[in-house]
Amino acid sequence: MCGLCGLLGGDQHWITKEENPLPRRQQRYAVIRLANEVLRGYGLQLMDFQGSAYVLSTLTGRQEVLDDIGAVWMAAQQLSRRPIDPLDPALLAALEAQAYG
Amino acid sequence: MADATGRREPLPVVVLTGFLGSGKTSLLKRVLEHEAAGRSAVLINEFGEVGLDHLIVSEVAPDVVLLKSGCVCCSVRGELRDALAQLLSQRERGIVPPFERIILETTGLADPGPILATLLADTVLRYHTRLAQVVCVVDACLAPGEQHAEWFAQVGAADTLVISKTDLASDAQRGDTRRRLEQLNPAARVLDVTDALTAEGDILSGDLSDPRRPDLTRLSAQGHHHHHTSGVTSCCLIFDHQLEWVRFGLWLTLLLSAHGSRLLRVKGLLNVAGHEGPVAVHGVQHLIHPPEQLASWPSDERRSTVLFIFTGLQAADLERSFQVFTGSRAARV
Repeated sequence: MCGLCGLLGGDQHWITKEENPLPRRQQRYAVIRLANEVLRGYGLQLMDFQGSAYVLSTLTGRQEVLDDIGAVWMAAQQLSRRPIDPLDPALLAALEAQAYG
Repeated sequence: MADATGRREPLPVVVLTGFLGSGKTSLLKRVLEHEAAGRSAVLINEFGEVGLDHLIVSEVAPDVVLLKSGCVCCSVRGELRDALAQLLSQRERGIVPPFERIILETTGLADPGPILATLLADTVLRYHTRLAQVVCVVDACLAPGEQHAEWFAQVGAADTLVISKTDLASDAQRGDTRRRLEQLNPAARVLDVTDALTAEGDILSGDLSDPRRPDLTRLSAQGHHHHHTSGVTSCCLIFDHQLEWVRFGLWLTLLLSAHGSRLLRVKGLLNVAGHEGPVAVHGVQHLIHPPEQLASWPSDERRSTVLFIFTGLQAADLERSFQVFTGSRAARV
């Protein structure tokens, strides 16, 4: 399955598949919470949508509905118009300062 | 063979890749003549390139011929996905013999990432096939510094690296080439072409999709170091405590999103909180295979080991990013 976007929809992405120890819903909330800790610095927020999709929003109210968590980073870069690079020292410093996780 | 539900086992696919002039076509010819090919379907780019005329018994469908070895050989015109789907349909309808494996030749300049993505992501192909191994043929006489980005992508994606033209190379050249390949891709086994079709080499039916192979923990024991070879680096992150799966998964998806084209290979066994056995992770560029939960560890050790092969990135940056996102301190070797 593509690492960037799950192709099946209905959130079959490998991060949140059922075999993981936490109940699937708990997995989703954990993923959303952690993703928001990163997205906050880019003026974005991710929310659960009816338990099977996600809504990514900007501070100005622009929104995008995502079928799969794998699509969130690409969508976030498009909405924020900034690259989101996990190797970026500034991002890592910000995450450490806010005690990410 | 069908399981209890009547569903047949997915057919194993061997992807045969190799740069222009690597010796891939010569190996392919030997494959087509080999008796083991009798139970295979081989998809090639162009019949003329391989010189099949003396091997052909009959044409069984447009662009599909039956060879003396019993092998079904199909020339791919257009989309790979369509050619594969059609071949599977022909097998189902009895138009071609019931082959048991598929060998897929890529073009010389092909980056294997999109091909693997086709096999793993397409809903029809994923049901009927599974990737058994990626075999990459390399010229023994290769000169450092002359490789293209696609060459590194092919080598990085390989499970088996076959060194060809060994009769044309000196002992020193063969040794240098082998060492270079082992440094570039510690996750692959390296064979001489003379061993490729033996029982031991077994590139036709060997299945390296077993996520426990190779045993990456040996890399830490041997002190594997990341190498800078023509801009390609391989390094292992090793950590002893358990990972939270969601933290690791989110980090990996972000890393792939930002740097997928630079990540030639990711392969690892992880100690994940809440799991008895390890979780195997395997990726090529932007593509992550569905992670697999294994029943048991290969040894008594419970340390997580992840091998990264990449270009254009710094190992230290990768390590720091991993630590911040997963909250885990890793040793980098």
